[in-house]
Amino acid sequence: MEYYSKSFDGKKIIWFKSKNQYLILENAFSNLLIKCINGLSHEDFKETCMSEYNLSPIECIQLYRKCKEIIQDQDATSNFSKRPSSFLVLNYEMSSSIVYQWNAQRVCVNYASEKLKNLVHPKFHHLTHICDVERSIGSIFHVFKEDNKIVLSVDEECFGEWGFNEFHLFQGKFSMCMLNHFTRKKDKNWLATLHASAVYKQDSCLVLLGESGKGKSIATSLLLTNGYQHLADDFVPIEADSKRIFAFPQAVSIKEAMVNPLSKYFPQLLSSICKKKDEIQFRYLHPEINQLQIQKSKKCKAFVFINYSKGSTTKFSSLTKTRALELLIPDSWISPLEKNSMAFLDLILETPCYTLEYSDNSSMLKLIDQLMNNEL
Amino acid sequence: MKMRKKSNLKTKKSTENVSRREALKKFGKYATVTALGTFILLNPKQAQAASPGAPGGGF
Repeated sequence: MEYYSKSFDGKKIIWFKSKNQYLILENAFSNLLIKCINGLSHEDFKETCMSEYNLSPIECIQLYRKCKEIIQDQDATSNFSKRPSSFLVLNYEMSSSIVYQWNAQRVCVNYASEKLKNLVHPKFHHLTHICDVERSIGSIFHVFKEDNKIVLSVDEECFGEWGFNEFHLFQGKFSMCMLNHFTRKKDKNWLATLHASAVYKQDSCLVLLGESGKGKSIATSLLLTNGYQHLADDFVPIEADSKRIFAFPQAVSIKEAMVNPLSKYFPQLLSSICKKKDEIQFRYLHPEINQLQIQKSKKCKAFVFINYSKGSTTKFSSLTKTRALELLIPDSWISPLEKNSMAFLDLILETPCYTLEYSDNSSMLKLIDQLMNNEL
Repeated sequence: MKMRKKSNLKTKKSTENVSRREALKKFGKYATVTALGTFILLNPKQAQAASPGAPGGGF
């Protein structure tokens, strides 16, 4: 069984390669589990438990069973979904073709329908490039519908298919493919992509995390009015070699209710593309074009788990690493490669993590400034 | 009447608040093995995803 373990705060985190799963446990339990993985017999396990941890024979059996359950679960066949095999898409009629340019790279995306185009285009509209489609295009994407599924192919290789209720997975894969083609990198060159927003000042950046609707995008927009620059929104890539947060030029989505208050800083919001999801309308705040043409990566100063809560007083505190990992891991895509997974954990364990609950924008901005200026 | 009810409640609550050390004493080795055998299993997303609340639905 392939795994590695790391110690932090008197605990251990073990990563299992077979299912790309992480286990956080007490040091003592972790030592016993690792001994078990390495073939410790039931008798020796019992003896260790009784002599080192003063456990009763029944407790030893319970613990041994628990270890065995974990090991069996990790040994079970992985249920990773396999990428469907390659196929040609030349038979599909496309309704529109759009060329996007970033970082001097161009990608042409062919959409089979307006509905499919609306799933991703509004976030990349500002990268639209008018040129002769046949010339200097790096890659050609096709987005079409087959057997009631959304299909994405890149250079005639299928990259996945998703049901219409899984459109957020299609959007995520589309962003990943765009990122790889714009930066000439591959999945293995990334440690993770976070469901977060990132802004920067000089050479360091702040990553804002939190569940959907907790105010990440709004906080990002307000920070942009306060001397910070856009690095990424909703899809935050971490580069493998540098462990730095990489820029990704996807637009920030703003709920309609916030468009008017923000329009004095960003008048372009009033004329931006408007989309409706359920009963909520969104508009897109596109990063400034002159900021976009440069490939950027920034060192992460801190991870801040943000929570806008109407009427609350501002609360800012450090987060334990256990809690930070508990919040971060299930909400992120983390590279299944051992080297990358280790580097990802190193980054999280060495970077300060905080929680910030607020309702008053000016106190939130002040706190973020203090954090960035080492004044906290 | 209401006041008395409130104070009774408070008394009951305070007797239930035992420290970790007291709890360990009370439950002995069982508490020790429970704490020792506790773990958190975390599964990252198996694929990149956009925010589930992101606009784009409507199919």
